[in-house]
Amino acid sequence: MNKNGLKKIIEAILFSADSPVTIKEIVSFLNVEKDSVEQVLTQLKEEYSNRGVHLVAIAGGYQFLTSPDVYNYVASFHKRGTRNSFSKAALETLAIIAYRQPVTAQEIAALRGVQSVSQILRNLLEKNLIKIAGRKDVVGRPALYKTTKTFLETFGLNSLEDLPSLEELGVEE
Amino acid sequence: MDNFNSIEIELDNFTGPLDLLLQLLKKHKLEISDVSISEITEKYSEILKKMQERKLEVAGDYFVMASTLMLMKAKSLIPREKEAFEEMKEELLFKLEEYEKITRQAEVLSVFLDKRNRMWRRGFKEDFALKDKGVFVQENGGYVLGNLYSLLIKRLKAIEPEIVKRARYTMKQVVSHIYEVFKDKKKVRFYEIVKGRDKSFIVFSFSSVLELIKESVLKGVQTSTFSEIILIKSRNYSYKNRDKVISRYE
Repeated sequence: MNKNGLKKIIEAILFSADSPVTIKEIVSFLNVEKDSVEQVLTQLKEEYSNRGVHLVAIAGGYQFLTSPDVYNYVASFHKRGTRNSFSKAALETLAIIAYRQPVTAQEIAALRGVQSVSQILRNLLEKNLIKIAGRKDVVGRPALYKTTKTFLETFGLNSLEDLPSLEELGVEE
Repeated sequence: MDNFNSIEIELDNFTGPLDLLLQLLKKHKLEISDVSISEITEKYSEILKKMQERKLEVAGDYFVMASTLMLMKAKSLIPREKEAFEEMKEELLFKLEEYEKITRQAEVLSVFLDKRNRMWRRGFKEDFALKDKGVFVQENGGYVLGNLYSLLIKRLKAIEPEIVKRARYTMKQVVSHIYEVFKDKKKVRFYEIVKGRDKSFIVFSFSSVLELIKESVLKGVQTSTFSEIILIKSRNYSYKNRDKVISRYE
């Protein structure tokens, strides 16, 4: 397979997918070198950087997403209004889980200074933004919560490392 | 936004007592480290009082904080309790500092979300904010299954057999009950309507709901066969004109 052929295939696979495709998936499916896939992706990303559609590294994979510059047009053409939104309490809860995972419900409640966060957790679980990842080895064996891939996708993060540290935010640890 | 100046002090503006405290400090331009407990106790209690005067429902969380603050204030006045007071203060300040970090991190998430929300993926799958579609069984499979199971158990309980007596309800009663349930809600689960009621009430409710769906008073959504029925107000729902609709049923 020559380089141009590979580029076409990868572009088409990404175009036709509605969720992020990982390098690993492409490599194992096409049975090609990881390096050449990475090269193609970098090239495609570059080529699309000025287009109405961007190739975005998200949730550990790559996905074509419309450019934020043309958001209004796309939204109103397809008559889409509100998008994913969260209450302040839900965002706080997600922030705690994202930054300190794995955490228990009790730890989250203590940090937020409230008695119970079970309603919010249930909501986030239903939206598949968090998951139960094991149990803490203490009395009662409470569930430990972690964020999911859907969380990364929803917040446009490639990995949790994209989240700036407190230091970067100008806050003392 | 200043949540204090508006006449409408709503607890909804705060995510909890720590949030309220933190915003109080910000409003009075106080640093967490040099806050005067007695001053902040006063201000905090003032707000709670105002809210109670307006007969707002104040969550227990806020009273727990109020009593903690008052206990601290009391301790601060007793010389031999000084050490205990300092300890409590330190703990509260630590909590506030930790909480402030969380609010910063939540802001970060909010910025990421805004940016991502300005991009669309192919195929225009609805966001979960817009859809009443079911949960995709992904990493959460276990949780989803558990949920379905508990739903099943609940449903079995709801329809435990009972000797059927003559109908104790009329469609009128049931329809007006449904109107009451939806008075302050947009979306209700069918089980909320029939919670704790007997079998004949469930039957009446179900046929009433079907009628109301036909009349476009409600909309029914089900994520999959046998899953919970979610009811949403539809265009013909009007609490004011409910009598007109109710009178049609005998």
